[in-house]
Amino acid sequence: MSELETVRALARGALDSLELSRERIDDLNVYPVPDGDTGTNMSLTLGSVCDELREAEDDLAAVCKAVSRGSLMGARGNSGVILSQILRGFVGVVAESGGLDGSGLARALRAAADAAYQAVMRPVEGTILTVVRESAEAAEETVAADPSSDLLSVLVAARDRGDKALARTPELLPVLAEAGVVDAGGTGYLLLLDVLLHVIDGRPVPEPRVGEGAVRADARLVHAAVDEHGDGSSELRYEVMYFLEAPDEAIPAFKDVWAGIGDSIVVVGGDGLWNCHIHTDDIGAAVEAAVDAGRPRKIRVTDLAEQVEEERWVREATGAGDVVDFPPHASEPVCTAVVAVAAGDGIKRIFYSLGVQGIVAGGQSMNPSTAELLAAVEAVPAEEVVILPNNKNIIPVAEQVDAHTDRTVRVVPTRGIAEGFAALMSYDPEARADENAKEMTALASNVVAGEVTQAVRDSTSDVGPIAEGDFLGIASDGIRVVEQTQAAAACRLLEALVTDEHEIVTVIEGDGANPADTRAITEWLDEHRPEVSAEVHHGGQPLYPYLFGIE
Amino acid sequence: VDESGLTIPSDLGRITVSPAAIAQIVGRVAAECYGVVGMSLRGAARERVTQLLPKGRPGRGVVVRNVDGAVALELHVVVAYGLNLAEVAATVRSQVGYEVERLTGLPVASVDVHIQDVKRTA
Repeated sequence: MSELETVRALARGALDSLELSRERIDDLNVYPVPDGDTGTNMSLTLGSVCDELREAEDDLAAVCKAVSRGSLMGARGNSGVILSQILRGFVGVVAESGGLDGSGLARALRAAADAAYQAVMRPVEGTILTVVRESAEAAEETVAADPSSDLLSVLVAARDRGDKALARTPELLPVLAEAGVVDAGGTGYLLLLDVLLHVIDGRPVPEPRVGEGAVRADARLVHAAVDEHGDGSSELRYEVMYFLEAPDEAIPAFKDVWAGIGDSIVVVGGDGLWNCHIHTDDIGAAVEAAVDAGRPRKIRVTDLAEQVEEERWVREATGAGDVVDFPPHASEPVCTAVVAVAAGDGIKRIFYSLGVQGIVAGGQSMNPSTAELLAAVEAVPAEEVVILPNNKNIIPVAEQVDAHTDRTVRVVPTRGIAEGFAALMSYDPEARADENAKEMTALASNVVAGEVTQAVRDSTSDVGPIAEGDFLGIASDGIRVVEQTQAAAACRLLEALVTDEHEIVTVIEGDGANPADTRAITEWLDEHRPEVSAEVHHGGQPLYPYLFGIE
Repeated sequence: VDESGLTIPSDLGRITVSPAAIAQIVGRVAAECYGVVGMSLRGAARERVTQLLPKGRPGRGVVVRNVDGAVALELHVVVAYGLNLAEVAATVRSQVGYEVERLTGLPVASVDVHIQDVKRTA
């Protein structure tokens, strides 16, 4: 295999493996901020690398440049930024030396480690940085002991030392030991080395190391034995992968359909978002199954025999990667249009019904990029645009958009879906963006937001210990209640947040909500807050069975 | 600048945290944020309290304000060349906000991150 093919196969294999392990790595994420998005961010960053690679010419320098550029432009979150720096260091050496042998790999890993360390004032050990550095040291030691060491022996040494370093991360970083996990970013990096071993030597990619505290997603695997990259037993021609937004109860029927049309089936996920992989001869049926169950996103089809040309054709035909939705009224020109960030079909419908022209898929742990927001802003029929980020973490990204377009873009800093809904109550399509932003911001800030979600791990909070599976009631200032059932969490959260001053409580049902619990909530309000009226909407958002907007 | 400090209510009396102490925390956390290779005095920070802090001391390039009992922060940072600036800024924001709330128990009203310069480190 040439270096060119190795780099391409590494990027694609790494993306596949990261997508399969995404949720498990997310669950490890307790440092620097425990927001559970490390796996998702690394996977999205590599997705951008693969997109660039598809466009790149078959020339080693061009391919290396594409890796650099793709990881920079598509970097998401802290782990994505570090990963981009590592990849840049690595491909810099590969491009310079025009190939990859044992000593070249040692130099490339050293460059990756140096690049990673140079971009931070005070590096924190016990993170991905430690794993990168120690594996580079092992590679250098191997080459120093025997300068003729081949690529495989250097890589094995680097991988084994990296694995040991990863196992030691809890000793170096106490917050990891407390949570009983190893570092999430380091786990992702080790997976990269494992994929490189698979590409060079055909070794199977092992399960990522996790640690005792981590939530295991194994039970959700349909077929444990996966032919990861379609280079083995499967006679079937195409590999089809996508993210599927669908209710959990639709999944068994979906799997039945797939079982009839292919093999190497993996359906991993939960809470309304599933990562799906199949080898099949019938691409159409594989995609239709998703449309019947819910909504597919980021469809990727690979011709296992031939690859490039047909892949491009199918990709364009299916519009994969297009995460922006537009409703029918979006084509009528207005003075100011609104672009909102949202997840869940019901929530999107509500936004459209309130006059939003463009929606970008995203939310907690699923932050859209500036480029995606920009595409939506430039697609709506208005010269002035207001963006509703609907998540604290997306506000800074949204604020970047104005600088990249001729259109006037204003951001109403909504931190939740309920604030987004409230802001739209004063939206006037015929007014200027500045005026709209001012009015909408004022309304949004009047809303008290509440969320009910389920804990994915044991933890502690200001209101007492949290066990995995507990339901949490969260206000804008943090966790307020911990309960065994979502109905109890919802009612006690409302008890804490709703006062006699309030008039309306908007209840948005997400995945996991059910009629009995919704009735328990509305009955509690009737009894304990008789002055307040409740309005129930079906939002269909993942992860949060109930969202509240209190006005 | 409100020099009076921020107050944490307690049964045994008031606990006051000075802006300088918070600036120290912020400086240390920022130094560990990936992508941040330095703090800067340029821009608005030059006029304010932090100009007294010597180069290299944590707290430089940080402005701390008291907004109704909550902490409002302004950071002036230098970021490594070749990184996605929007993502680095978002990370600094969330990491600094999270650590200040965790370490002081004070609510954080806002964290404004100004990228004053981009520096080639290699």
